[in-house]
Amino acid sequence: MLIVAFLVLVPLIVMIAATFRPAGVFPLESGEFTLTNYTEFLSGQRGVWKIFQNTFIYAGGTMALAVPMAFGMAFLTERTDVPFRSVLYTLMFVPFVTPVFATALGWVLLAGPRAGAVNEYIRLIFGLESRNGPFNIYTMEGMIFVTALGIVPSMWLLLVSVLRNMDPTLEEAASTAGVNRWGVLRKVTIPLMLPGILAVVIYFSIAVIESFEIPLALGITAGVQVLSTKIFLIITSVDEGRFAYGSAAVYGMVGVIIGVIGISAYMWLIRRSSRYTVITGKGYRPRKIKLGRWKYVAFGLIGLYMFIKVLMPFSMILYASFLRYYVPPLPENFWPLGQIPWTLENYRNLWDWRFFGRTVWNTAIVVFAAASVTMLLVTVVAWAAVRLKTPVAHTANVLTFMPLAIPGVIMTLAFFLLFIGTPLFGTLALIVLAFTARYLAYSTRLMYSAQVQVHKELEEASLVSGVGHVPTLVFINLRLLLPAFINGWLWIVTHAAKDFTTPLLLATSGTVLVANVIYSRFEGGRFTESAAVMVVLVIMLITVVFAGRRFLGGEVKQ
Amino acid sequence: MLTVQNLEMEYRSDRGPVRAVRGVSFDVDRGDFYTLLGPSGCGKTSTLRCIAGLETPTGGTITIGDDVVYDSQKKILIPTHRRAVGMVFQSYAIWPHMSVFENVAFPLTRGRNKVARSEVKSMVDRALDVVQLSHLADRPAPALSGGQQQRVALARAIVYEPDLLLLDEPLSNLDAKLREEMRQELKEMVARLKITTLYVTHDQIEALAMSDELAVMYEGKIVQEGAPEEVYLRPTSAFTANFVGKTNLLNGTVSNTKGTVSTAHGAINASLPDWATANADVVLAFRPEAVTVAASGNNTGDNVIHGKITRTSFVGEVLEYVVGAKDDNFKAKGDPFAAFRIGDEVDLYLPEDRVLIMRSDEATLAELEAARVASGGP
Repeated sequence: MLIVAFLVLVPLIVMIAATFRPAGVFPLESGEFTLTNYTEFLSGQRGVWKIFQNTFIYAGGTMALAVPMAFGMAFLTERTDVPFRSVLYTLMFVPFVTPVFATALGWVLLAGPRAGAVNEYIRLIFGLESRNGPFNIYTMEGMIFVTALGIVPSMWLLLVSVLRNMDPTLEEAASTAGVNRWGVLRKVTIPLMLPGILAVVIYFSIAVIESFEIPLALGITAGVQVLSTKIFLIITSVDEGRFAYGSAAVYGMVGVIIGVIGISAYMWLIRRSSRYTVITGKGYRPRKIKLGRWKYVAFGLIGLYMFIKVLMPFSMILYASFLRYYVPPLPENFWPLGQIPWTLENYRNLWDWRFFGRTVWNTAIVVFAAASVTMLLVTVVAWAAVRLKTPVAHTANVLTFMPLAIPGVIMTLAFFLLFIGTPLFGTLALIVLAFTARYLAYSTRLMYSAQVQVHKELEEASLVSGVGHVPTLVFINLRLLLPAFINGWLWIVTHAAKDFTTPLLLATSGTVLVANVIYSRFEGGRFTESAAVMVVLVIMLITVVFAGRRFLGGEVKQ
Repeated sequence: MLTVQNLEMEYRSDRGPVRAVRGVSFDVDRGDFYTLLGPSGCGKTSTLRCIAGLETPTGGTITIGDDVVYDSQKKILIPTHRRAVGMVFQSYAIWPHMSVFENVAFPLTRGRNKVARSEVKSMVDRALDVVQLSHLADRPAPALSGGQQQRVALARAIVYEPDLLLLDEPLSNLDAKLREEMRQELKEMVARLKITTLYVTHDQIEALAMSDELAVMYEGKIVQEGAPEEVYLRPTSAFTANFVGKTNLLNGTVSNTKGTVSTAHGAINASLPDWATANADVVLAFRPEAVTVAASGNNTGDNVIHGKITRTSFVGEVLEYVVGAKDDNFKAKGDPFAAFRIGDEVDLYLPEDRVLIMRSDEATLAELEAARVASGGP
């Protein structure tokens, strides 16, 4: 409880303090206070309204595109007999393993207006004259497209939890009353899941509003600024040698307020959906819809998504990693052979470099620790919030949401400012803490919605049998929640491993993580080397995910 | 074995605090089968859950065996897992990730009722034998039918031989035929095991058929307590009369001290209870089977109601009639071989010793409340 409070409230307080400081003053130093940050903001200087307009279009467009996709796929994998379900389940985790940064770069290579490969090929095939387009990734549409594709897997995971244990008799009741399959879906299934689904939508809307890497990679060049990039730019632009944290923090405050509103709506929805308790131990067998010939179409659709989302951008990166310097994969460059500067140097360098081994080891320790600590903490909080209903438990639950409202950039910055100068700074432990704080929100949602569906009587039966609270929690509750727990654990591992914000801000020479290596190569102009590291990271994550899914495989069958 | 005194329980709902249990007291002797009977919301399940420790009461005491598990004044509250009880839930609460065997074995493998590893199998086998599920021991729990799940729940509750067995409407989710079977079997099983049993239900047939003693509950209080025949044949309130079995109710006023009650259908004589003074408003109650239906004659004496058959229902062994008289409708039973038809004018004869005089429901509740306050409740 206290842990949660610390992780969440302290950065928030730091940020609020920062809003009152003029440029050049650290939030916690002694010094002057000012309201200029707020007045500047409210007077609409520097195109404040445009930024919010952009942010909302960005979030709205992304949701409109992502939700149908995610829901469709969740439905197909959970409630129909689409073939190769277990393969699909594993594949769903694959998009998790690519750093967002890498994906964005891959898309630039694919659909950048001038040199993008897709554009080049289309121009070639259709004999178009212009040197620009037809696709331009450096636009709002481009941002929305890439972001939507990117959040579908995480959304899918949460929606699966909502779908998985709906009481099938409710749908059967409708069928027997003569309602056809579409009707059942429309009138029974969806309304019952609506609170859960809406909650997921709200959660991700907030997440998109606060998201950072894609707007950074694509939005700046597109001239589209959103909340998160604005903050980042303010922080990193050194205006006459002074750090304008205060001004950035004001934007952050707005982000927080949006987040709080969204969260309240979310909590209300969750309370409503918790009336639909489902795992009671009886009738725990959801019925599968038979797709008949549409099976393969469905599978094809999901496959298509995978292809576009994962394979296309990643193959560009893969291609780049084998080059000495980047050259687009156009036919004209393939003839004569040998024009393309193939090499294995990039990989060999990594292999020879002992420091890289240390880096991988550090990264592994950090992400496994962060995942374990977070999931354990979150399981307890979710359980308390669902079962105990005391004000303390409720507060803890609400608190875990707060990090969502704080933009990742600001959150990490707050940790940076807090701990600089303390012995904790520069240690792996600090990074673990920062990750825990950031991933609290998502994992709590996951465990909460899973917990809500475990009927209270299953625990009560254990208590009555003479088994105490802790063994009951472990052997009954946790055991039933294991699929969600493992999903959450894997989610954190993959997200933490490929995260950029935290390592970039908090790592020091003693605690270098893989993300740091990727970025430093990139910044230093050694793009293809950077690509190679990205590929290595992806391979490592794939291994982890596959191992995790094998372990989880038995649970999926239930 | 079980003593409950002045139990009070209150909980918070969206509409404010709700007093679910208001001063309930009863005892269950060792080996007895005791039932709490009442409609939804009467507080019977809340009472049961307080005894199990799954809810916290707000007043009173609960003693199981020699242990005081709850005492509001001495601030004693023993948690659920340390009470010597077994419980069967209405939803059965079978753990879906375990097999039948594992479900039943779980209480023996850890916690209060843990036994040596070598003992577990024999005890589980014995319990499964009692509920006749030995052949399904390795079946995964979700693959069982409702009736089978219920037996697993029962086996799990008795495997460690608790002092007290609690059953929360365990038969309500079964089909009628199965319910009838299980009623018998359940009764025999607990009798054989000599386990003290507390049973909660809204089904009066179950209550009457299975119990050694039963308590009728209404709005958080026990309205009447006694052996099944006692409660059925001599209900003390209109509510009990109506809830347990079918009853005819007729309002009237006491007209003299010899037991005559004047009603809209003439004078009815019955045995006058002590509390009934002259001019008191009372309710007359008589069972449909207490009434004799005869063709209308010229009888103008007491204890006769004139009316007309408005409905007949053939249920096999008897004909059920509804007789309309002035503004009232009365239920009666008749010989199927000497049937009346709709529209026939009939006389209903009410023997004096089969009519009961009782208080209205409101008066009954008021009296119970007064009694509770007098005995020192909050």
